[in-house]
Amino acid sequence: MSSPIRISGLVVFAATLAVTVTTTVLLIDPIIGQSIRTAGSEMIGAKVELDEVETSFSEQRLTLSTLKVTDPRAPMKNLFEVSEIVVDLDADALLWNKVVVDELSITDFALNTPRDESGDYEPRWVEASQWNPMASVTGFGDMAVANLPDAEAVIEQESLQTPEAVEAFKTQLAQTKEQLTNDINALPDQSAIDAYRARVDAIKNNASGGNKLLGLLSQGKEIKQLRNDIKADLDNIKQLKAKFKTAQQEITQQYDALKKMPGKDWQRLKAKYALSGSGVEQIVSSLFGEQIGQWSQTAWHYYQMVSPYLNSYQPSTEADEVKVAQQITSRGRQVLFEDQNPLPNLLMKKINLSSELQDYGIALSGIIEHLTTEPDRWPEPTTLALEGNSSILDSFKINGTLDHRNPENSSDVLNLNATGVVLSALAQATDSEFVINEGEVDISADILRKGDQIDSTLDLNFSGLNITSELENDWQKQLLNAVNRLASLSVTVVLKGDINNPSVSIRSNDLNVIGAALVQTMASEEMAKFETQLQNAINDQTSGLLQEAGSLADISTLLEQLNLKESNLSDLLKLSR
Amino acid sequence: MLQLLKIIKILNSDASPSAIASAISLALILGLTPLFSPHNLLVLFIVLLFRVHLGSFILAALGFSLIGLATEPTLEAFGLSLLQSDAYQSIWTSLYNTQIGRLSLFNYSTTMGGLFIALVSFIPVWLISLFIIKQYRQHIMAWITKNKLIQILKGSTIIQLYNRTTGEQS
Repeated sequence: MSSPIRISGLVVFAATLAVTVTTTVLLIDPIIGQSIRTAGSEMIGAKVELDEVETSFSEQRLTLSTLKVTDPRAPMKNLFEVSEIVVDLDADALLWNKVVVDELSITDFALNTPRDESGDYEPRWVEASQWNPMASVTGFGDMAVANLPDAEAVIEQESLQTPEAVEAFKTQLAQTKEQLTNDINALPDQSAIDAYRARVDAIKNNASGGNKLLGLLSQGKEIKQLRNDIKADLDNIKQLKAKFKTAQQEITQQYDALKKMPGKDWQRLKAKYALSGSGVEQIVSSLFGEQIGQWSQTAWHYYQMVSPYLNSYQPSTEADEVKVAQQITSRGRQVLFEDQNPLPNLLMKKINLSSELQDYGIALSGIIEHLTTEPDRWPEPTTLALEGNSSILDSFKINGTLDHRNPENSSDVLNLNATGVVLSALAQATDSEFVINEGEVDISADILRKGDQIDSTLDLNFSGLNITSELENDWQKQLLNAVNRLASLSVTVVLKGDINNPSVSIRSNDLNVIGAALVQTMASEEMAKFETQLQNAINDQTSGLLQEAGSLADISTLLEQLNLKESNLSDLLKLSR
Repeated sequence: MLQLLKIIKILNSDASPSAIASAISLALILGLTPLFSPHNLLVLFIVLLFRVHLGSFILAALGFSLIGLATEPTLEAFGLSLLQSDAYQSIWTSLYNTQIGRLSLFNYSTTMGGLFIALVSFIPVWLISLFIIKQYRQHIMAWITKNKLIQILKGSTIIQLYNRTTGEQS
């Protein structure tokens, strides 16, 4: 019987293995290169090009030469270009099927470089969710004097507060009147007064017959009791009169306030529809809202594009300690178990960036630390500290911490400072009514995201502005002329609330002053007309209601009833002496 | 048709039934799991080192690969349920915390689904294959050899050309 071992097979296996290993070693560079090109293009949604990859097994080092990443929004431009990337790998981590980069050095980094051919890939950029924080910003046209609304239309659209206040006053008044009536009814009525009178008469009749002295002495006790009863009722009347006085004062105060309500309605609607100092905030929004909105959207798109890779694994619904990768590969979905020596699947401990200023580039230096796809498996949050300058700005500095270690309570804190940003070099809003021809801006931004909430402040300090508009509205022209004459213009943008739908406010004291002055000079006549119309319309709506409320406010009838009772009882008290 | 003739040829050869059955069982692992998985290197090593019938292995691997491809979504879902099952958590966690376990890529759902099915079916497939081969050689081989259709096919120009190019005797 022949041996169960096939020696020739062992030789074939060894030879196959040797050939495979040799081929892999020889082809590892092109394989890695192609992987980076394919995965990078897939991730960015635009073509990623890489000239050369060099692997050194002895140094555990990977060197990438000339990496070009196309801008997904502009296929004829590179988002960035890097002449060399050196990656120092942790070999021990590779045996655990982890990619841990001890240090990654990037040299000669250039932004927005032109491309010879289009870098179109898949239109992933436009698939990003729509996010328009400036959607609620009122357009400039609505603010123009020519577009001041009709006063009657305003009254129809808006709910006045006066009718509601009149109704509330009437309800309160009815309650007060009911209470006072009940109190009056609780006092002696006519029959009780008649009974007092009968008691007085009986005492007097008894005293006039027989011995007067004896009669008075025998009825003294009864007289005293009668006087006490009448005095008690008079005290009650006195207390009720004091209550009446207080009620009358309150009703008078409420009615006075009610009479002012139409005026308040007028002030409120005037402020909302007319060009007042506070209304100028909307001018600031309409002037810079579109532009700032577009810049914010650009930043948001990049964040959305990168964020899935900042935390690629989600906890399993069946067991909290097990995580399942979202992406399905040819081997299926990767499942991660509790790791006794937890290491993220991909970790870059330190990234060194350095580059000199080039024609299209950016001088950039700084360090990014602890960048990983699974931040909950690494004790440190991602931090970044970058600074530099470029042909389109004097200097910039970005510091930040991206803390995604606890997915339930993740937060991003970024602080950005940029000086001398040339506005004409930045992408301008396509649907803006304005063109920014010249000018610079200093930007200082504090961005805080915690969970789904954002709380960010962006201070923009514009200088040397030259803005033109194709629209021929006098109001707009005057405003733009005033802005163009300003040496500097400060605008503060605040984004708050739900990150997907934040509330936005744009403030500028400088523009408020200009706007208020323009209101005074340009729009005074038109505004006065509008305000008078508005006031008349409000008066028409509310005068009847106020008259009705005024007639109801009188409680003198009830007071007369009280006085009559007091007079009757006082007379009886005198008679009983 | 060529594949059918090849199968008949293998069954009619002198190869031992256990060598053919082993080839089929090992091919099951290769066919149902992703090709470039580390455990398939071990399968290849066993196939080459021991006297496993190579022709049967290649043919069976092709067949099982087609089955693996058709059932991939099911294997993936089954593998995922196994990896997430509370009952096996301690085993998977222990394996995950060894370098061999980590390099084996067992924690991928399709790999786990295919490998589990293949390993559980290994012995039954081996026994069934062995039984079928023995039954074939005992009862059907003589009839097949004498079958006119088979003889015509064997004598056809295409088959002759094929045999000449592969260096086999009809």
